[in-house]
Amino acid sequence: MANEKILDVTYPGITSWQWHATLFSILGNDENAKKWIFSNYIQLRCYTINEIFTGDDMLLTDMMPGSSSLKECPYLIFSLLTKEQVESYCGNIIDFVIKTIDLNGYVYGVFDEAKILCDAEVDYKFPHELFIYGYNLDKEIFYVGDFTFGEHYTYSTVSFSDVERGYEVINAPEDHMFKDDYKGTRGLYVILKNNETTYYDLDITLIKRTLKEYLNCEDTKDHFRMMRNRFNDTTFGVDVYDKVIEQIDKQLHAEEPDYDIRSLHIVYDHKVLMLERIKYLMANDYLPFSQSLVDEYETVVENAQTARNLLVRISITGEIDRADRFAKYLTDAKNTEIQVLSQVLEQLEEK
Amino acid sequence: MDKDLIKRQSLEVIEQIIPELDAATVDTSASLKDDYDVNSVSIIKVLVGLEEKFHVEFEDSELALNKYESFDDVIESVEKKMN
Repeated sequence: MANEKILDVTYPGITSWQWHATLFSILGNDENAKKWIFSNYIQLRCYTINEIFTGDDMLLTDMMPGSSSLKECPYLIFSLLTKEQVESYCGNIIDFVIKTIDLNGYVYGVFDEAKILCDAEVDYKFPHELFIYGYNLDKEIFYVGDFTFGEHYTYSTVSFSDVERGYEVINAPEDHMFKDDYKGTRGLYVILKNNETTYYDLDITLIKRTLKEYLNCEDTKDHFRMMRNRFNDTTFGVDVYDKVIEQIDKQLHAEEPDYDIRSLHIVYDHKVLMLERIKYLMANDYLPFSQSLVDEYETVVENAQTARNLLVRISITGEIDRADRFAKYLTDAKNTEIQVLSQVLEQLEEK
Repeated sequence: MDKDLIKRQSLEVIEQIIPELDAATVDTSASLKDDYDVNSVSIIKVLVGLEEKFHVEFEDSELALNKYESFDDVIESVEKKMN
């Protein structure tokens, strides 16, 4: 066993949720995986849930596939291990993570990051997914990726003892990765790269269908009813813009304003990825090259970015009176996006 | 206000907001992202700090990391607004 092993990661272009940052950290630079990535992540959806830390209503906005991407991406081999398996195989979490990394497996699971961040004992928990991709035995540290250690997604290190403490105190109902689908279970994901062979071609049929569903705000989940059919309160496609505008207005004008940026961040990342997809389709002759189409879509990215950064500004300065500008930036982004993606769809249909 | 004074006072603001930076030694032509790990949130904090210091205002679209390569770019935008 080497004293140090660090698996390949690339700082992800998409960071809005931990599952996306993890997948893009592992596969973001892989040419084969790009074909799967650009065939997916087209549809946007949102619905209201109870926030896991506060219990308040939260608008959960995400691209499809969402957190299930780590299980479903053909360029990853996913295994689910229960806490009992981890303990039975290796005795403790630290040995399990080290052995998994030695076998080129990344580890992903829910840890109490309050224990990781605070030297002193604290009487609250902050359960959050931690992505572990390396270790150093001499320094007794793991290499990790997370949002918790900085103002943005950061690669950092965490001591063996903090990871152990952070893992042990989370019980099954607090493990939000497992509780929705595997109630009463606590565990980890082990993720291996599976990218040496082409398992998935760019799927123009899927891209066209999902673009139509995105533009027409149709329920993409309907295609997956054999796997899950629990939610009926979901908004799809470009209607997500209106839900996000409504939510921001509500949260900023609450008695105690809330500066939750997550929906705006995923909307922005969706535009960044869509622009990359358009360029990729043009570079690979699925679409005729058009600088004006690229330029127009860049204004969509810019408006989404401006809306997100405006909320960051308001969270710093408390200038709630600036909030009326969100609607303009997001409505402009929506209208231009509908126009550009309608052209993209038309050109793909003509091919 | 002359350029040197704007630069010196801008760097004082930047140092207050990003304490890891030393205003006396910072390379203002170096990359914000690669050399100083400035991110999309910290750049907004810097710009808001500069607004308060110099009584200028950045447009919403200017509050973005990709608009500035270096601290020189940030300081230059303050100079333009002041003049």
